[in-house]
Amino acid sequence: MTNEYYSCRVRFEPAEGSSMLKSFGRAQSRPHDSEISNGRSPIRGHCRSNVAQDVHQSIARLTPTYTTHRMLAKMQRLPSQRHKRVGTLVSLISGMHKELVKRKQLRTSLLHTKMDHNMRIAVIGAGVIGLSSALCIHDRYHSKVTPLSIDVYADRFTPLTTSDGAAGLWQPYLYDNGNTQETCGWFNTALMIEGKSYLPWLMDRLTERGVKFHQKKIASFREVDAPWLKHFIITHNSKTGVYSTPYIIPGSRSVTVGGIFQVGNWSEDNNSEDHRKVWEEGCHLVPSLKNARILDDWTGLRPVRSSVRLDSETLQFGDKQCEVIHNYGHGGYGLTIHWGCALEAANLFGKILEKKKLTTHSRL
Amino acid sequence: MALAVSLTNTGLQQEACEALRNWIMHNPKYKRLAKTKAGSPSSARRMSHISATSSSFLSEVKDLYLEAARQNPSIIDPDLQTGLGVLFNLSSEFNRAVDAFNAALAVRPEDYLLWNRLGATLANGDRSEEAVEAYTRALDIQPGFIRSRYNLGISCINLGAYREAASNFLTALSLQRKSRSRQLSHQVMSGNIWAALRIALSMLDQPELFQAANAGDLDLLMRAFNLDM
Repeated sequence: MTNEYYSCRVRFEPAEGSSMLKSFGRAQSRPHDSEISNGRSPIRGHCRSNVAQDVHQSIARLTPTYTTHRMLAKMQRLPSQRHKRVGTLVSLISGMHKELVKRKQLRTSLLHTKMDHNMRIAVIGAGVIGLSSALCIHDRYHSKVTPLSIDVYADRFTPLTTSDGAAGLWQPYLYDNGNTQETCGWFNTALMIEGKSYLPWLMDRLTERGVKFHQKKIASFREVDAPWLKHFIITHNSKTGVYSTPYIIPGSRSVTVGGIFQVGNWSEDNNSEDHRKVWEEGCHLVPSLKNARILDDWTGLRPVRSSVRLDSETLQFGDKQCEVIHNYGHGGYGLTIHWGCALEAANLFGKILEKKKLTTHSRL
Repeated sequence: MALAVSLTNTGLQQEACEALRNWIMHNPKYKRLAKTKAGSPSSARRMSHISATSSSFLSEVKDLYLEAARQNPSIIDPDLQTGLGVLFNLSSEFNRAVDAFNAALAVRPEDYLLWNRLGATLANGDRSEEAVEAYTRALDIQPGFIRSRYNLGISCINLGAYREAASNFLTALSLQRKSRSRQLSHQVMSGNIWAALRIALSMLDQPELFQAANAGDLDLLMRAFNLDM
């Protein structure tokens, strides 16, 4: 390949030593990857302070919760020892959920009393965004608003959604009005949120809480059985955009090899040309892949927008009014930022509740 | 009557109904009527305390008031009509409540409390534009009437006029501050006004103003809205 690209090395388990690095280094040698072939971690080399700043800003934009800033700030202050950073990032992420929820609850403390209005919520879409928003809203408000009924409407449920197909690597990137830039090399270990495991879990939590589901509508990649692959490998080509060059992401049961990112292509059928390209490039990246058994093909859509739309709007239908909370356009990073978006959706819901409470509370 | 109104405002429906019933039973004009309606008063009272659901108690008291009004159809008793208006608010029959308050206002057109009650009834019944008119009448008569200004702010929010809403809340807060009242009811009201102000500001998408409200910085907000008084 003649294109320039950054190589990212991310690991799911804490570092075991440099032997794995060496095996990766043998697969290819490029000018940028000289650190890899030396057996040293490529991460330190790529981690420049301005990259961290970009990431800081991109996360701020994508995840509207400022606790993520603090997480990154903590990371920047850490000593440059690889192992320490690994441990802290993993524990920061697991603590993040609790922190975020706590902070949001403190801020939306205006709602003191119980409201006895019938609140009916319809959630459209049963992918990670829809389900997590439903869970977040129910979690926060079911004890404050009675009765609170939530109905989820979607044409597809797990395992047929885009979220199921996604490999789920948790890696924010900068998406700024069509210019995408991978910001990479700044962490040693990564989380993976596997859609096809996460979604059923979300559905169970929601079902427990009495949420009802109703059925009533791209990344091309393949599921492979290659249990010897233990690392995520993503490549980036700044000219062709994100996720258009090969990536290999091991999941809990199989490995995902991808991908494509074709703006404007609405077809969800597996295309043999794309199929061939993905497979060949994947094998080129990791030759041992040739010995893997292909389990499945999958093609999906990445509905994307110049920026995520997350706001509320009042729609009029004749003499009836309806409040709508929009939460769409996450493109290729839905799993990454879904929780922050769900929390913000719950905040918007809280604001609507407060408004409604006021509307029936003028004082005689 | 004032007690009944307060109880209604704080959502204590059962207590409000009791207060209204007590009013009519102790009122010299209607005492006789109340006695005959209830049958033996003590047993009826016991029964209503023990077994009546709130809605049947409410309709009981409503019937009392309606009967009393029918007693003298040509004369309108503004207090009785106020009681009816409050009852209709409790039962969410807002249009009938509006009629009651309008009847009372026909007799006492300068009663700013009545104008405010009419306004609040209209607002709670989703007739926010008319509510604004009623509040304006109340405030014309009594500019320092804080409760009405608060209500006006709420109706502004309902109508989507968030700047006007904030402006009204700020005026109300400023008036309260000037009065230097330490009464508990005024403190409670103050809390309500701040809460409503925060809601209005949150709809304006100006985070620095919202922060100022969180911090309780009234002066900054007054300047931001050109309300230096």
